[in-house]
Amino acid sequence: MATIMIADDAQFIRLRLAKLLSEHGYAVIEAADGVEAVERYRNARPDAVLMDLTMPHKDGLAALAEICVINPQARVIMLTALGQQAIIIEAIRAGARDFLMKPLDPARIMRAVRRVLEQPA
Amino acid sequence: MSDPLMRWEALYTGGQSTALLHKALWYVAYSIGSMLGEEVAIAGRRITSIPTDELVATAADPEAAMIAIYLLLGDALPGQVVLMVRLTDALALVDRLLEVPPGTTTAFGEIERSVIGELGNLCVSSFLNVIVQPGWGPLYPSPPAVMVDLLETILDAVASSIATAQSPLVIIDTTFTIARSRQALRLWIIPDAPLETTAVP
Repeated sequence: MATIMIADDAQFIRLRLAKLLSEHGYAVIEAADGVEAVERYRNARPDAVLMDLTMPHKDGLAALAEICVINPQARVIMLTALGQQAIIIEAIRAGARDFLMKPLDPARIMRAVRRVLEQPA
Repeated sequence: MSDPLMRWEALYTGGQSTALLHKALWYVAYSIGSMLGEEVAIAGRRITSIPTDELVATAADPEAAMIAIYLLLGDALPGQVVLMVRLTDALALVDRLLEVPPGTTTAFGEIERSVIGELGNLCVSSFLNVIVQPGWGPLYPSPPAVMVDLLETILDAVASSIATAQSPLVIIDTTFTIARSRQALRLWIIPDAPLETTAVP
């Protein structure tokens, strides 16, 4: 069973994503900010990460960069309502495997998760 | 246009810039509608100027119980955003977004604040996605802060946070309505810039 880490400061989003991923047979761990995301990634090495962009303490891009230092092949999908070209390019350059826009579309999320899990880590 | 304050001013100069502002507000309505799964319309929009010390006095129903989601805009387009919803409407929105029967949510705890905060985050992000121009760099909002209080207290808090920056306040004031339920959401975008005000055509 693959383990997915959800990093989002919004408890509501973590709740919805955890329910969705659990229903599809994935184990879930959660982080409520960028600092916690890096720490949890270092300790638990999840198979993939769903990472919010705007979070307190450490934002998603900074957390992504640190996770990619821990594991250059980390499978991180960015989740955000910010769909600006400069942000998307920055995320992809920082190592994001995919970039999904909020509001959340369960079918698109599951497609993205399955796709990144097929990629080498 | 490298001066962030001039970026705001450009949104009021008519023609394409004003159209961009309208497009951004329509996209906010679309995004709220996508989140809720139903149509959301713009019921009213205007650009207004209010002396900071008169902000509370402008409230038609100052003792109404409200939810306000407050976000700061980053330095590339400095300003503040407040999304206000009547408490009863906010409770109904939370029910819908948590997919629980109507009337289930009766108070605002951590999860309920998170739901409403996410709605505010979506509104601001959608606005910024359309407003951003080449060369501005990315536009980020702060994480949302959710206030549950009387309208007058909320407006007082907003005025206090801005008072040292400028007076009067310029407010891009938009009211959205959810088609079926008629619940209203009022979005104030408050540029950190003293501007000449122009009514939105």
